[in-house]
Amino acid sequence: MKEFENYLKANKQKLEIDQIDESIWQGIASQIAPTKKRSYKKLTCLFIALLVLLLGSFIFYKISVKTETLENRVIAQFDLGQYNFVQQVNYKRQKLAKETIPADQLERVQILLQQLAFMDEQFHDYTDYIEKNGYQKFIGEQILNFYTSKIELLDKIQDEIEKINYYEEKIQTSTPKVNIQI
Amino acid sequence: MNKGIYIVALVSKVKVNDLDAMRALYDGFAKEMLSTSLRITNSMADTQDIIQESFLYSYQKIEQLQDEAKYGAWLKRIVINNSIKFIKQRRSFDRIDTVNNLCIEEYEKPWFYELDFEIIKQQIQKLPDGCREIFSLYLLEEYTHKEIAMLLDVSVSNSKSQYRYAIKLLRKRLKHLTI
Repeated sequence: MKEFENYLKANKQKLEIDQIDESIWQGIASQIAPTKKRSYKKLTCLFIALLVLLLGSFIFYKISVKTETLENRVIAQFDLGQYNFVQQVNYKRQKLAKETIPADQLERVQILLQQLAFMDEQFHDYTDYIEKNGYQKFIGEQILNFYTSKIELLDKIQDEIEKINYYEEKIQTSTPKVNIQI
Repeated sequence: MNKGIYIVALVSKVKVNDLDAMRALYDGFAKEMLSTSLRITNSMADTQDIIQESFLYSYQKIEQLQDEAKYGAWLKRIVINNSIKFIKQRRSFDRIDTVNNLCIEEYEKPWFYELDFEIIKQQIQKLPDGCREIFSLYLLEEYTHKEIAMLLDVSVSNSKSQYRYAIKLLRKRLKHLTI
């Protein structure tokens, strides 16, 4: 049984493709030229990004303090305190904020982070509704589902980061690591 | 020149935007990467897109690769990740209830030495999607079942079963061709 497997493994190169279509390289070459910019442009972009990040963090901090109080009030009103949603979300967020991943793998978690940002926005829709229409039972149910999904999403991000770092450790590319902006 | 040193030299040149060096890297790795991706996707057109995208990505991010000697391993990871991302959009693992019906004796004379590698290649591509992907990753790319399970979001035991099924099916089909 093993002999057959060993035979294939030993002859792996013979299982490779013989000919490659030249159009593959042409496609790569045609896209390479415009992708590299002059370094000063890169630095300017980096500086602007840093500035936006700092400003964003400051605004986020202000909003999150306000939101947290609002969240606790809404949760108390719907009698959902027993689930410790806010504490769970905060704990998982703090844990994620400390994580680092290789810079070139950031886009793998980007879509999940976008979903999280979308959920943060969604909570404001609930509070807006409550403000206009008062506390109604169905909103309470939606908020329960909302937090359950949010916690699942945070766990998913954590899993993805662990996967990325597992492979990074295995390959050891020495790619610079960056924090997750959460 | 030693191959490792040659690759390091090429990667260093690519870092300063040397297109000829990138072409040399492409020539050195394209066949291997294309074969790896094709065994996973089983679609030449999609594989060509994946290879283009992967080489391009490696070029754009090459400054992040500090150990130039590991370019091949790094590129392969990009190719495998992109190939898996592609198959996840269309994948469905075939049920493998028939595994036990494939009776293969444990020891036999090495009948496969005479086989043409073109035929083996064709038969690998004809394996069902799910088990072909696992077969390629485990046997030819030397990933562990634990790693495959994580990559493909399947259980470790499922990965093992799919692999065993692929091997048995491949042997059965190839053996049939030799008769």
